[in-house]
Amino acid sequence: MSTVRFERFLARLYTDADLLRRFLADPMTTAARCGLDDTERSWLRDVDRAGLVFASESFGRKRASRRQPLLRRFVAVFRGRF
Amino acid sequence: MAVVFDRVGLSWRGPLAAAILSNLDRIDVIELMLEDFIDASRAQLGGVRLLRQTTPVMVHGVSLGLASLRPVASRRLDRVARVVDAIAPESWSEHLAFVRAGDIEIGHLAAPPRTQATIEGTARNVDRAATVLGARPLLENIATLVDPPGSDLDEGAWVRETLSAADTDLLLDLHNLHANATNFDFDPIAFLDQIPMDRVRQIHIAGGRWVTHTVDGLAERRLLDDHLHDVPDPVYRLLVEVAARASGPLTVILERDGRFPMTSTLLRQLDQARDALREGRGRAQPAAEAV
Repeated sequence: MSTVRFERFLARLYTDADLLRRFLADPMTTAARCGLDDTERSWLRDVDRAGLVFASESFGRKRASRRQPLLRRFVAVFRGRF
Repeated sequence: MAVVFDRVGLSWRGPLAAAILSNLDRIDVIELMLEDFIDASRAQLGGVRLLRQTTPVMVHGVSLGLASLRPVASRRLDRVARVVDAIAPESWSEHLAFVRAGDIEIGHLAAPPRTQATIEGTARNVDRAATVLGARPLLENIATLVDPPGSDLDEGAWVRETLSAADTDLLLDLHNLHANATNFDFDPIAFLDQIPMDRVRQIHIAGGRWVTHTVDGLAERRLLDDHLHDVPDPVYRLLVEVAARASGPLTVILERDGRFPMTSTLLRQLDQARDALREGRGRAQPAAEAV
């Protein structure tokens, strides 16, 4: 099974470094505080801890690389004006 | 004797434009990134239509997030439809991934839990997309650095059942398969035996690199699919296996997103893909002859 709420929790783990750190320190409490019910928490019992670290770091780099071109465009526009 | 027309091509990237346009005699087909054309002007789209007159073109998206329990937003489908309508490609494709959850943008392709629920969610989204775009997308298996939490199916079974439920074909990314098999210790040939080979229409090949982290005091390493390195030998060997098993024509696309090598190096990798296809077709059965 999976739920919309579980999908959202995964997205938060992949994008929020502080949440991931708290989750790795205490998975079940953190998941409960994020609103996951007993069934959803059971899906995290044998979670791939190393994989979460690799994935969140990789997604973070992707997000940063997407922001860069925007920044470059912004700089280019203002360089032309002043 | 049946003749199978396999093709080999490149994904279009701006820095490769000159290399591609000056070697169209060695490039059978070009894949365009759909998102590159979301905000394209009429003139830019006109340029693509000109290219299409000389070389078959396919479009490939990364932003819809079809493998989700949430319905894909209509406005996203409308924007994709505008591009597909303007370019009129041979086919369009997307990934077996979710990329957002409500207002949270993950930033790249995330593997959903491999469950019956996500199979059904993906099928609903493919139906929605097909209604808006007028054609079903090919779906691509993705590379993942994390064993998707919440899964109760293995990747091969999940991909097979998703293709069946969504009634569409597969864009089989062989480096993604190689990376997942390496990272999660399964046999990629067993994966090929699980999926319906008659649904494999396109192939991606690419390269990657090892990444390392210390987690829980242990040094861990995983193979990252980064599209910044040359295609490794295991991927060509998988291509031989696919060509030996597939009955229909295959279109192979080399994906390279950066650290671009010399044009001769890219063309050599296309030739290696052709050699692999030929070897696989030769091994397949006397009924099919590779061209």
